[in-house]
Amino acid sequence: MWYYNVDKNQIAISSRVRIARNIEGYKFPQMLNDNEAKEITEIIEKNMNKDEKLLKLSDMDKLTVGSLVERHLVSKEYIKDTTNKAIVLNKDCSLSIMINEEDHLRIQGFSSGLNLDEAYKISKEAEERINKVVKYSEHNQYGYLSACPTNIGSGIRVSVMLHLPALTRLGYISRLLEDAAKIGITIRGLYGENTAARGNLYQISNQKTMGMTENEICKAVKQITEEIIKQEKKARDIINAEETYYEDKIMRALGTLKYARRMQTSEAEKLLSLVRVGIESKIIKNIDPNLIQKLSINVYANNLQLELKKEMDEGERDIERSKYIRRELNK
Amino acid sequence: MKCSKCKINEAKIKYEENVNGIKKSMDLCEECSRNLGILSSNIGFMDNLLMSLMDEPITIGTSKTLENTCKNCGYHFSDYTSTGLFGCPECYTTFEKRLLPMFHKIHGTASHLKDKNDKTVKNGKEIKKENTILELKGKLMKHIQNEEYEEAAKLRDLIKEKERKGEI
Repeated sequence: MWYYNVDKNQIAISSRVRIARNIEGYKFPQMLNDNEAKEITEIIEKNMNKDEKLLKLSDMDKLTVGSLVERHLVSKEYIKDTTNKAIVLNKDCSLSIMINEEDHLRIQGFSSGLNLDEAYKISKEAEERINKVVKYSEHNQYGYLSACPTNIGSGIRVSVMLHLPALTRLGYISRLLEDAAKIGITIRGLYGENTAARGNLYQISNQKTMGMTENEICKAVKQITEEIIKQEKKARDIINAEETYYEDKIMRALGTLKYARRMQTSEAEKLLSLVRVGIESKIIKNIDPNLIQKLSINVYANNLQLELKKEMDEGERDIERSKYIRRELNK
Repeated sequence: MKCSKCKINEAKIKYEENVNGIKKSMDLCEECSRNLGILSSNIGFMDNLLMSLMDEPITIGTSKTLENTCKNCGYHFSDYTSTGLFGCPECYTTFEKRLLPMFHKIHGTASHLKDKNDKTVKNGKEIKKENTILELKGKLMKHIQNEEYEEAAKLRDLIKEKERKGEI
């Protein structure tokens, strides 16, 4: 799975390119009747590559559906009503096509680290392949049409997930938000909750989809991201000057993860973020960053239950979560 | 325009109702429309965002005029303001007049630009022409909405003149 890989020194966790398209001759998904919605799914199903599979959300159990969101493969809104919803995934899940979301197709390409070219290539290939059998809804002036006017034109949303603990700690994030907004870039906390990011994770993405070509949009997001990474590195240097203070915090986090007996998701997020910094700044040397990445994904409610193969209530989860983390870290 | 109820706040919502042929219309601010129960009290972030993007007051009400309804899918403009989504591609033509100023606010433009390797790419001149005409029309629309009719008339003549000369 692409999302289990992370580079040791990268502040960028993952890259995503999402292309929104609608098939000509059909109303937008929210206005489709049952048959029409099924037709859209069939069109896509008939034109899949060998290594891709189509999964109907209504056939999945609740945990698996919830886990799709926690792995960022589909949006939170998408799973609210599973009727006529289906996704196409390739083998390593680097391609995910959401069918009948706000638009007929939301074609997403993913890659680990800052690698927008790769993510764009994956999504664009699928977009072009489908375009060989169906025409996309297009307006000669406005470009590709989408149910929501914020997505029309290129229909492309390019985003990078960044781990920015130092900038957050030094309080630079709000300034970063303001500056980015001026040039049409949005920065938000992960899982879309205000700006208070959980686990110090942020998503950088383009705000505008019209008036710039797909390549220009990718390039702009990439440039901004590189700049933010530079700033994060500088901020880490500043913090490192107070080394023992920070080192102490990181090692305490690791200690808690290794020995705690109960842990809520929010606490795990916070502690894992600190350990991540510890590895990136070489304070912690003997832990594989991919393990931390795996833990960061599997501490969430649905993923945890799937990983441990049992259903649990919140209290049980807190106990099992700490047990799971302990086991993985003490291996 | 001030709210016709409190006469203090700026009117954001145009309420129209048509009960048994008796038409009533009010221009209301957000607070008054909420107090009157026209706007639900748990108005979400999306509604606020949409309102701020809109140059003219949002029309909410029971009368659905033909002009406000998409012929292809039956979508009413108030459906859009409550969901943030359109019903079908045709809606973009039906509601075009209202959309242009909004496009400028969201995207800073109202014209799509394609990649060079795209086969259906338009040449630079065509894009420039379209950009200018859209820009001028967008400005014209703003003047009309602000009731600056003198400015609007000047601009209208300019557009006509430019179109005649084939400049745009």
